[in-house]
Amino acid sequence: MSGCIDPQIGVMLHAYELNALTEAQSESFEAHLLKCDYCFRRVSDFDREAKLLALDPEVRELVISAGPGGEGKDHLMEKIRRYIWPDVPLIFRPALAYLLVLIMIYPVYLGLRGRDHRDIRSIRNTVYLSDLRSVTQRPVLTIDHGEGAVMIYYDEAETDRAYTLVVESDSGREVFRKPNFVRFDRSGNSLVIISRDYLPKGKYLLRIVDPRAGAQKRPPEYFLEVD
Amino acid sequence: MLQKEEMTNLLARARTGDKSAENEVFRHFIVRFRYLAKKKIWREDDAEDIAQEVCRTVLEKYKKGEIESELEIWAIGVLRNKIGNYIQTSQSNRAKKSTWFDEITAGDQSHGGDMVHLKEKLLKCLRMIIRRYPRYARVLNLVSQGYSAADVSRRLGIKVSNCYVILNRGRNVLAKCLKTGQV
Repeated sequence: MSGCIDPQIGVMLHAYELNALTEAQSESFEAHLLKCDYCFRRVSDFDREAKLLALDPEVRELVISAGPGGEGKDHLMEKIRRYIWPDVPLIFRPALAYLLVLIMIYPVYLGLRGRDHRDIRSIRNTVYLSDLRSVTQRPVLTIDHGEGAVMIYYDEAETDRAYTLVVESDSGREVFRKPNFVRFDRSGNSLVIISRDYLPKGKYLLRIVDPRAGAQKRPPEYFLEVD
Repeated sequence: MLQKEEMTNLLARARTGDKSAENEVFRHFIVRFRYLAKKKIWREDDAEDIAQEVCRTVLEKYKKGEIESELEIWAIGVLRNKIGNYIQTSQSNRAKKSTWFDEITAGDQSHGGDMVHLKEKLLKCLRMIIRRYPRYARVLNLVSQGYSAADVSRRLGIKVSNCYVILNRGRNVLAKCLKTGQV
């Protein structure tokens, strides 16, 4: 005997025997049985076995309890899998929700971590500079880890005024200039972070120039030695 | 058993009034109608009545040319209507389904004995198959719990056609086991 005349419908054979088709599919398969000798022979030959499989309580009990999908018989891993990835629409699956939350949190984490590195730094060495007129000893700034802090005191400084910070080497060469320096507080103190990149080891003269002041006014000068 | 072309030829002859062709078409359909009716109502005598009635109706309508759709689809529709009417006028289908095994064993001792023997073999084979073919066991399990093939495929995340293939492969293994006793 030749094979099924329409394998696309013939493939539903066992599902039909087990009553696992919809009404429309069953009807379509039954119409197929009227035409296809091969499928009709197979179905009628397996009739009693199919009845037992589909309807006998003892057989069904065995299949349900002993099968890998039987209730209460699942392995632990399968239970865990079903807990985090249950058979619900994709959008409601908890594992997906956890993943989405992690994806959303990650940029925040990166931002916080980046901020830590950028804004919060530990500077161990600080020197306090006073106007050259009032001190004789040169303060020495030791830069261990790339940066050092210099606290400048200028008794005549105004808080909102923009000064120009000029640093010259011992030989009189300008090595650093910072215009619009508006960092003095009401007490005349200002903190400047000095990088080793700008000021290598050597002796320097630091000047606070007020662009609006006349040429007669001598700007305050500070000695600084970087070690 | 008739090939498709032979069937078309026979139907054409039956339509022209050829009695032998008509009888052959009748024999072809009655076997199938009887099987399908019995599958649904579980009573052999009633299934036979329904099958004969449907067969006569189909042939008469066909000879008169009153069938507009495909013959087989129309015939199944007629059969389903008859079965539906039968079920409505008798007791509920559920009650019949629950007693089918008792009826067979009580009605025909030798047949019932066969069924008991077959059931033992089936249980033995199923125990082996469940261990060896977990995919079939999984699908069969869900079908036994009342899920349709479409539901099963959704639950297992596979295509419906794959679900049918798994079922058919499992069925072949089961049939072989019932014949040889081995998986």
